[in-house]
Amino acid sequence: MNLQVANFEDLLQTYYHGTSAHTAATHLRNLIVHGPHLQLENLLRDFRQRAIVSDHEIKLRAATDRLMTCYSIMEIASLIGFIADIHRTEFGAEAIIVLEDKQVRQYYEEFYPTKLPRLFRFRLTGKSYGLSRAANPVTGGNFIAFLDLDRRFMENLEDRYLLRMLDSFTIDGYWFSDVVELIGTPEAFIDHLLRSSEDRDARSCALFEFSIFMQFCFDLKELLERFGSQPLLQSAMWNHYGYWFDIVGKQLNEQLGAALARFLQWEPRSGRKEVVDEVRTYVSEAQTALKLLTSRAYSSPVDTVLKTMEDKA
Amino acid sequence: MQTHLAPRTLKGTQKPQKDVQVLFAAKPSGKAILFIHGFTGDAIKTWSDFHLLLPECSKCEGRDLFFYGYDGLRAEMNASASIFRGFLDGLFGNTLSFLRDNLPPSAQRPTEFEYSELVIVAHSLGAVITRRALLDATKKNSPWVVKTKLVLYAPAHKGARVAELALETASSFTFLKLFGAGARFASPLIDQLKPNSTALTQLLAETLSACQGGANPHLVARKVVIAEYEQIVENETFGGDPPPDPIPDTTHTTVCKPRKDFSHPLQHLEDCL
Repeated sequence: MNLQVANFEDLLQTYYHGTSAHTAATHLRNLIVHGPHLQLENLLRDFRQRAIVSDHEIKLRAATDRLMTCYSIMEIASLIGFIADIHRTEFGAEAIIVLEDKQVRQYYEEFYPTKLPRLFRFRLTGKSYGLSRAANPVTGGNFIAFLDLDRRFMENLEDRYLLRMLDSFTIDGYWFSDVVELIGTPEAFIDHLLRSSEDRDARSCALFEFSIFMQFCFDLKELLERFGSQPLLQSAMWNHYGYWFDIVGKQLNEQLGAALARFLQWEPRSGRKEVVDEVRTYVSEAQTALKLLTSRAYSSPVDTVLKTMEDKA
Repeated sequence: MQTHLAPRTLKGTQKPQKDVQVLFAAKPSGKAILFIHGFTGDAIKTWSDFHLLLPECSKCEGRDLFFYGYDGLRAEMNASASIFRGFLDGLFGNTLSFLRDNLPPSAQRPTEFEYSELVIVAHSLGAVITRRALLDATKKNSPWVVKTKLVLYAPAHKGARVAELALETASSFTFLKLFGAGARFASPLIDQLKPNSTALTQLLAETLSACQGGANPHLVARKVVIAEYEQIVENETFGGDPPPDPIPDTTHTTVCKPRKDFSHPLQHLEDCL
């Protein structure tokens, strides 16, 4: 078995065929190649100038985001040699058509400025030799830890209640502030947390995902620390979650920080000092993890490479 | 060196209701290890960092690693055991179709591939579910059952205090257990796992009967690992199991979680491979 081929097939299945990414790729490529180009411009417009309201557009833009996630993971996998060069594959040929298009570039470079698709575009056009050399070989096991973390993110958090609320959406009339309010009362909090999945409402679901997201933050922080000797790879992995920790990072830190602070108001019935201390320790560690992840501390290595590549181009 | 393919969630017709995660070996030896968690939790997360450390262990290089998921907090115990037995039936009985559904094209295995050994590693309630599943498979003369080996961590087969554990395992907020709200939690397991409950007494009696005269050695655990600071399960020995191996400074939930700097749980498993 050629492991790099098997790895590529796996990633393709998980991130492309197994999500709506392939729908977006087909749709975008058709519009790019056959037009009308105005339709593409309209689909990928800046939401701040004209809101996205139609179901069709919402779905296609969400699928486009999945496609960018797919390109991001392919870039990281290429960076460490987990997969072989893919610019000669059917997937690579399609990706270059999509990523080089002016409207699509505006979408991922300006409206939602994610960096890994930009690096991937350079790689596909053969301008990434320096990138491959910059990364030391990584054992497959370590990258598998990252893929496992990302699997949990995709299955338990992406497009679900908590992250949508943190992204300023209301669900069934609830805002994230309603979840924060729930945390203020230990009895209500525990009651919602222990509900079975059938009995959960939007707040219970968001609360449950809040616990999963905090664990995800601890795990990501630990994983990034493990890659301390490979800053470019570390930076690429952080950038994979760039939307959450960079683009809306400040907002996320403030909202979750406020939610965590509510735990400090809990008063144990027993009044035991060790209970209070344990809550304080957890909150402090959680806030530290959040602060670090949203601080752009891991941003620089990818930024530097990107700037070099863009200057050359 | 990469010894296993990327982790994946099982799909296809043999997928049970809850997720099963798999790390397939790049060079399969025909042997596998299956982890089954306790009262709740992610199929893999409960066992972290087994899934990261095992691929680096030479005895595991060729073994497929399964992390079986089920509703360990609310589902009825015998039903969970029956579903688990059904999964094992499929794993051994329809191995090729199962692999075809879950392996990428270039990693497909030869048609003669089959599993010759499955080490089942069970934590807490997972031990009771597994014992019941293997006992019933033995009664039904399932041919695969003799290929299994049992390794247990903090098993709940002599009873457990489920309500106390509900808050600790229901989320990642580790401090919640200190705010005790077990009384509000409802689950059939609270009665089924009380020490000397009908279900556990029957499980012991049936196991002892099946193992009489040294028969069915697969129903006897190869190893039982217990926590020093156990507050959830009873640490008494079950039937003909060997005396337990305690891991110092561990609790019910940490006893099955090896790390780079804490390899005891991993070493105990390696002893059985």
